[in-house]
This record gives sequence, structure tokens and C-alpha cells, in this order.
Amino acid sequence: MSEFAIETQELTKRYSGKNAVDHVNMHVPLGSIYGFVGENGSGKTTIMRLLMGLAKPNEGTYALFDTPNKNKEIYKVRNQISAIVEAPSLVPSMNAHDNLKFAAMYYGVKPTEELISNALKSVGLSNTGRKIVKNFSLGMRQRLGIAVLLLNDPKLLLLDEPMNGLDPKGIAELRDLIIELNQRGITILISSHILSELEKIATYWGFISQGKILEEISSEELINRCQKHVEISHNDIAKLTNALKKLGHEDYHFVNTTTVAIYGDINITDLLISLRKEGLEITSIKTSEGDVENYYFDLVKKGGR
Amino acid sequence: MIRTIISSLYKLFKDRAFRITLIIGVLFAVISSLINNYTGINSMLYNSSPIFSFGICIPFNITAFVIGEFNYGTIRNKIIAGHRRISIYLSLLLTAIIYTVIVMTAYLAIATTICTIKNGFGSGITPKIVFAVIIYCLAIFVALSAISVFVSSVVRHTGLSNTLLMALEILGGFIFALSFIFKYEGGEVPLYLVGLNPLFLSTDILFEAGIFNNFDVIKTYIIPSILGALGYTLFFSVCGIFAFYNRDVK
Repeated sequence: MSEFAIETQELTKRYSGKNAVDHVNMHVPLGSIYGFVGENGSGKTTIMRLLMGLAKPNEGTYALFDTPNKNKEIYKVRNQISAIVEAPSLVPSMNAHDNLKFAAMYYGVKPTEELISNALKSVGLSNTGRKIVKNFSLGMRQRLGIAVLLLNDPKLLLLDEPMNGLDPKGIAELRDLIIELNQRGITILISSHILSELEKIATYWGFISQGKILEEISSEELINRCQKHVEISHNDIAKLTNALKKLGHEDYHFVNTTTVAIYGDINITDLLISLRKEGLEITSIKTSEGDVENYYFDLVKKGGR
Repeated sequence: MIRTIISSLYKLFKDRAFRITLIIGVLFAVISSLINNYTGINSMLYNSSPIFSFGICIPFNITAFVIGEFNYGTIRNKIIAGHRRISIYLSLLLTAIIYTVIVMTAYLAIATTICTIKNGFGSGITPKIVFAVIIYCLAIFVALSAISVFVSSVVRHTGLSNTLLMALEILGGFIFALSFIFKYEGGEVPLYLVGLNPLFLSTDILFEAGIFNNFDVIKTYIIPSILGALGYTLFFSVCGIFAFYNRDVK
């Protein structure tokens, strides 16, 4: 069995001749919380829609739990997946209880009173009574949407901007719920513009811009890269790294063929003087405070790693 | 597929619009039957028409139901839950048919019963004719549901779907008007025209049959009417499944 819950190969979706998703190779590790980051219109939702069978790819393939999208077994695999894409799917004229009963029916789960009351309790909506969903607040709808998702005991959750419209308490509750679900072994793919919240839960990251995956990276590696660092450039990268090693700067990584990012508490003046003594003329130098947002913007500027 | 049908029916019966339509249909049947002077069979024949009776509301209610499924994202959730698109489409169609049959059966049963109590059922009617008329009514309702589900699932916009369905009814009315040209010229209405427009033309013929007590006309026209209705059902269902299968769902 593969180590990925979702794997795509050259996945492409075109609208009016333009690539909304452009030859994407994406890998969502089993058991991870995969933070999916990209600007509006970058292709996040389209990829989720392709994975859920709501849209058909123009090129490329994907596999869910090792089952390729063209295999007939994909329908069975999808029964173990739940998703909120764009907005929770609820019937506004029905109350929370009836919405859950309705969803249980199409999931093929026996809609017992126990199942429904437990689902309502788990998202704090036990006391909504006969109030219809049309009169729910955005946060209540979002929570009911999550309760619907959990009815079929999924192995994979796809959440597209689930924190939209939630107040700080709602966001915190959702965050805790996501962590709890992940601890139960559910793989979660989540997109959000609230990067500070994603930072608290994501164990793996995928950055996308203009339909292309710029980078996939584990949280540990991302934290390393987001540390305060100095980026210096020189035409001869080998000479530069030799000099850095000689000066005791071992914690660095290559940004591109001419630039190196050095981590740690660095005195820039001392570093420049030392490199000068080694005979190196630095072509450019830049310091970075480093957070996920800046990291993403840097990636977009560079067009990925 | 059974799961999607059960869930669609559950949603239908929970839908307030369905219950309100049913109540209005019953009230309309009572009021219209008290006002008119039809016999039972004439009431049945007249009211089975989707244009002359309460049946005119049916396509618009089906549109609201189907487009609601798209707008609320329940179709999206059914696809995500692993249901095949053909199952989802057929469950929508079956729900629409059940909806139409329930509303129209309630409407026709009440109207026919009241008219029969008032004026009798009508003379010269054999059970065979009543059976043929019931089959005809069912075929018409099924065709009406298939066309409404097709239009609304392809267009996915309530206003535009209703406009198109209204345009189809007007077009049907235009073909219905052609029958008068044949009649005024002393000729017979060609059978292909009956098959082409079972919704309106055969209603006219059935109505005439009731008024003039000439039930032989039913024997001539009922089969092409039913075949026409079944033809429409098949054509629009196949086209609907094909369109739904190949289009993205938002």
C-alpha cells in the first residue's frame, strides 16, 4: 500500500482553453493534515473538485488510497471520503436533525436517533430543535456541515476554506476538532487563507499558484525554512558554501543556483567581513524574518523550488 | 441507487413546497369541480391535461426541486459519497415522477369523485376505456416529469428553466392548434401529430370524446398518444443522463 492518501500525476483541468490546474503532481501522506495554500483562483478548489469526481480532468490521473480514478472501484473508495467544497451541502428548509437523517440515507448509514444525536452533540448543535438551517448563523451551518461529513466515518476529509465566516471561538473549536479527527487516523486535506491557523495544525504543506504546485514540504522542514535567516548570493555557489563551512555556518540550504539561505543568529557585518577575507564578493544579501506567509510569497516570486 | 432514491423521497416528503402544492391542488380540485358541470369521466379527461388544469404547475415545482438539489449542494454530496451519476439522475427522475403522480392522482381523484357525485360518471364508458385513460394520464405525467428534469438539470437556473418549460408548453399549444386546421377542413387528425404532441392534442381528442360521448375516438388515438409520451420520456431521459454524466457539478 502506498504511503499517500491522495496522489496525482500531471493532473490538468482547462476552462476556456486556459489551464486552471496545470500538470499537478500532488502527494497527500496518509495520516497527515495537509495544509493547502494558494491565492484566490490558484486552483485549490478545482483540484479538490477533480479529486471528488465533481469535475473531470482534461489530462493526467489521480489515485485515492491507491485506487486510480479510472478504476470502477473508485466509487467504493469515495464512500470513505467526505468533503466540504466551497460551502457545506445542506437543505435550508430542513432542520439540523432532518439534514443529518437525509445525509445518512445517501451515505448508506442507518439513520438511527443515537447516530444523529451523537453527531449533533459532537458539533454543539444539540439544542437547535426545529429551527431550520436557513435561520442558522454561518458558524452553525459550518458546524452542521462538519457533522454531515462525519456520518460515514470517513478515512479522508477534504475541507475547502472551512474557517470562513467562523468567529474566533468557532475557529478554535474547529481546529481542535480537526486535530482530534486526525488523531483518530483520518487524513485531512485543508485549504485556508488563515495561515496562522493552518500553521497550528498542518503536518504537511502544499503551495500552489496559478494552477501549479510550487512545493510540497513537511511541517518540520517548513519550520526550519521559516526561521530567521540571511540569503546571500554569489556567482560561484561551491566557493560560497566552502567558505560558509570554513566559517562554521553549517545550517543552510540552497535557494537557487546562486543563493544560499543561512539560518541562526547571524551578525551580517561580521559575516560579510569574514566572506571578504575568504576572497568572496557577495552580489546580494537579504534578511528574512520568516513565516509561512513570507515563505509562500517568496515561493511565488521564485516560481517554486 | 436505492439509497439515493430513498434520500430523495425523504427530502421530497419533508419539503414544505410539496405539501403546500398538494393542499392547493386538493383545494383547486374541490373548487373547480363545484363550479363546473362535468360528468366524472369528462372531469377526468379534462383535468388530465397538463395545460388546462392544475398540471400546469407540475414542471415548475419539479424545476424548483431539481435546481434546489444543485444549489444546496446535495447532488455534489451524493457524488462525493460515491454514487454514480446515472443513479443520481434516475433517482431525481423517479422522485419527480412520484411527486407528479401523487399530486395529480390526488387532484384527479378528488375532481372525478366530486363530479361523479354531482352529475354521475357518464354513460357508455367501459372499464377498458377508463383503464386506457388512466394509462394515458400516467404516460403523460411521466413524460412531463422527464422533460422537466431534463430541462432543469441541463439549465440549472430556475428562471431560465421555467421560461424554457413555458416556451415548450406554448410550442405544444401551437401544435395543438394545428389539429383545428385538419378538423375545419373536414379531415382527420393524422396519428403522427397525436404522437408528436401527446400532451395537448390527445387531451383535446379525449375531451371531445367525453363531450360528444364518442369513445371510439379514444381507441384510435390512445395508443399513439401513449407511444408518443413514452418516446418523449425515453428521449429526454437518455439525453439528460448523457448531459449530466459529462458536465461538471459545482
